[in-house]
Amino acid sequence: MHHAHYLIPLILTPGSGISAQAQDVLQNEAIPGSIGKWHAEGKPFTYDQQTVFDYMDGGAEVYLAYGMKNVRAVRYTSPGEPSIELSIFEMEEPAGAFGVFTYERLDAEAGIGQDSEYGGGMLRFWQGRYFVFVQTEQETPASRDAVLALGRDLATRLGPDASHPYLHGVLPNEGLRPLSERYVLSPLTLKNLEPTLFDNPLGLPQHAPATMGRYGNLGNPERILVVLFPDEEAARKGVGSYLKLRCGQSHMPAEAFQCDTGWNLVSALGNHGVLVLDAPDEASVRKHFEQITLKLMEISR
Amino acid sequence: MSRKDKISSRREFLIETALAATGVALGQSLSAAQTRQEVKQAGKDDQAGPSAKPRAKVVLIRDKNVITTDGAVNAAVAASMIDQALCELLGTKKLEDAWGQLFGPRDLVGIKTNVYAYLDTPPDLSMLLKRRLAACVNPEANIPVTDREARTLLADRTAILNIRPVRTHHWSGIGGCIKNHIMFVNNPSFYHADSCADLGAIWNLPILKGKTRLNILLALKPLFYGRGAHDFDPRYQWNYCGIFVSRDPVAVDALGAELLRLKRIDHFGEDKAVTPTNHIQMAEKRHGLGVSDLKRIDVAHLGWKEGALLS
Repeated sequence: MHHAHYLIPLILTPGSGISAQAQDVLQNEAIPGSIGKWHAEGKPFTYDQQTVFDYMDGGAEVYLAYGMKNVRAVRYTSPGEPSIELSIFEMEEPAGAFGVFTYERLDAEAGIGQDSEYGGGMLRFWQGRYFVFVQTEQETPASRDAVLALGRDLATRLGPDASHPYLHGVLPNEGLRPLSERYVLSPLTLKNLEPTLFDNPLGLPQHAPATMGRYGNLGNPERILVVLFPDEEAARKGVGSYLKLRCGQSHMPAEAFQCDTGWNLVSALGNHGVLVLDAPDEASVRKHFEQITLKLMEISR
Repeated sequence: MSRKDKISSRREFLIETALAATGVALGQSLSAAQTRQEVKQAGKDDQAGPSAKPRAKVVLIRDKNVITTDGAVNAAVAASMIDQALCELLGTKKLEDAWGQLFGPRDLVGIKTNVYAYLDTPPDLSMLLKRRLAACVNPEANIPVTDREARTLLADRTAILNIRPVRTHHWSGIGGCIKNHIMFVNNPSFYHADSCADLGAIWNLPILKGKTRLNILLALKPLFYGRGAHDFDPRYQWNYCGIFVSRDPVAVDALGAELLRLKRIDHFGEDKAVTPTNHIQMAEKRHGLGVSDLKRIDVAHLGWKEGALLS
């Protein structure tokens, strides 16, 4: 049995790279009025945290959970061509921009901004405190080129790169399924990704960062979560509470145990909670837990 | 269908018809869903004792000709499918009897649609259904067809037909019949807490309580996975060519959610995480709107069987 949590010092500083007080670097005038033969239908319309529901109904809650300050939207049209819609989300922190990008990530990298993806006429990328979404109503060779050109243009206007949140690096690389990493900033969105956290048994406060990845081939249920608690006591309590609920019995922290769906290991490491869930065997659980322990030790140095 | 089932169905039909008639006589004081549940409860109580939980009936009808070769919805085919489904649901052979069971001359009728830009209630289909309702109530009657103006145009209605396409939704898991009534409130975001868990409460507000007589969940070109600002990605839409019809909004949504889940597994090889459809279960447990447990939903399948996913 491992008791590596004794080795981990308190780590409380989620890296963001840019202060929350950073100014909005994007003025409306900097949003292109045209892209190729597509022209903007009027000036960008700005929705704030109250009016965003007029723009995107209940879906706005996802963006608000990641710290959305406002979203600017504009539609580009060209006679005889499918329209293109641009949405620029200004987030409170770069971590929010990165997180909301990962939340739905599915497609291959497009090489725009800090991380991006393109597929089916949809471009998504993040740059600094901004998350950008460009979508054509119908993908054609011309509309695809216009979507990508608009993205490239905008990415240069959104300020310098920001650091990835530090939790981004703690998941073991070995076995991590491509494009499966998710970074969240709220138990409200975390429960959408992990069913065992539906009622927030960890007791995470709002804005608690967490990262999650899926392991093995498609269909393999193993996933790993690392969450950051406000302090070590909260981490111990949260992990203890989760262990009591999981499989309906108590387990010791850092002790591998088996459920119907696989092998698990749940433990507090300093002010982190580590959940290795539904791994195929005990050895895999222990190996992944050791790798996370080492990564957290590296970060804390 | 076995003889016992036939007898049971017949008895349910007779009881239901009688109750529906009573509902008319009482000024439609019972909601269709309540009526249905009580009928089912009464039928089950005879067989399994008073502790038996209510059941619901849903008709799923599919016709691959409802989507044209250019991807459009053939409204005439869709309307015909709804006619057939309604006859099956209510146990009638005559179409006018089926519609007439739900909407009568004394009703003020309206149709609640959905105008989501990427996947709306086909306007041509709404117009065809409007004609059917007009035949039931009064050919000259004003029958509002609306989504965004439900609070005003449908406020004085006594009988509502609720129809919309099924799709995934960023925050409530699916957009279905339960969620479709959110435009009856002036503060939709008030209902966003806990993944829209209490959407069912809207159905019990005075403006709406007991008024929805029929729920039609269109699964013609469902969206089984959504992304982006408007939660729409055309790659995750397919021609299922189906329509769910029931008096129970919870049951059609439970089936719609299950259909999308099964399609995600079929497409991705595993279920992709989406917001849990908690509001469907809450609509039964907390708000008493209908049946959310798939084991207690009796599905009658009509039409095209290939790729049905649901058994």
